[in-house]
Amino acid sequence: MATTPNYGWVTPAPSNFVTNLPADFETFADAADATVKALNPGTTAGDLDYYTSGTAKSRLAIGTAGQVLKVNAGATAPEWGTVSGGGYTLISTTSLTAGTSVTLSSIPSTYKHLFLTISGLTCSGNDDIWIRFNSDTGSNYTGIDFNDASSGGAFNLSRLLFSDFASANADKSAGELFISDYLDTTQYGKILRYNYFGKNTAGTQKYRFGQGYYQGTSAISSLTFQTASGSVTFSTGTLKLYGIS
Amino acid sequence: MIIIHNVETNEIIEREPTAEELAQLAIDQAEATAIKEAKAAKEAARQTLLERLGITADEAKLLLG
Repeated sequence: MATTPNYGWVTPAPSNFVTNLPADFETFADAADATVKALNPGTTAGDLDYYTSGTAKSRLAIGTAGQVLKVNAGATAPEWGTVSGGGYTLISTTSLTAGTSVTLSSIPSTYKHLFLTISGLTCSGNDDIWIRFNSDTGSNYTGIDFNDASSGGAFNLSRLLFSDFASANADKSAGELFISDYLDTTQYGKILRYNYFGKNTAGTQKYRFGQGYYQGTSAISSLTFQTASGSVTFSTGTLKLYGIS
Repeated sequence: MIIIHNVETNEIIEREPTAEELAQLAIDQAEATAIKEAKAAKEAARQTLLERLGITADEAKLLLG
């Protein structure tokens, strides 16, 4: 008997003396049937099949609603997965209604950049607001800023000055902080951009915007907002943290 | 009071500062005071120069373009 070249199905060779053709045909057909089925492993509407070798296939059951086809982590097979949202994803919302220090901890390491907004802020009195990352008190913060009266800033401080005119003014203040590459572990890899608008106690409109960097060599996993005095408290306000993919 | 918001679990802890944190606050305040004093000294020097030149701050801005 002979065999077919690709799948080895048994078949009478031209030189064979056939004694039981129906039996030979049944053997051939059963083998062909098994091969065809193996190459079409689907069992349910929506199934996909993919090659696991040069001659074998496997079944990929249909995914759940909204999923897309992608390659698995080992780059060995396709799989269904959830689409990354991209853009800005709200991680947390925190009320600034008490305390002199508010820390956002356990910041996920699944984004590329962080964006923080403060809105509707008032404090119990006049004070500066400083920012610290990872409770790092080293001289790792640099911020160069411009405001309505002058420019200034400093290199290598132990925290970042975010506002120097937070107040109890009922016309609330607002600001933003953008941290690029917050997971970067190189010394100058995390760039900061920030701005702050509001009124001081005298009712004078003020603005402040600046740029700087954080020299700490750990990924940022926590952020602390604190009043400089340690006695002036947050009265109103909302702090929102966004992750940017 | 210190507030800690774990953004992963959404747990919020409110507590008083530790002795270590209060000590750090004193260090932070000393640094902030030094920065403000340096800024005030710079502003005073600027004012002295303007007065010596006999021009206002706005006139200085015009000069410097």
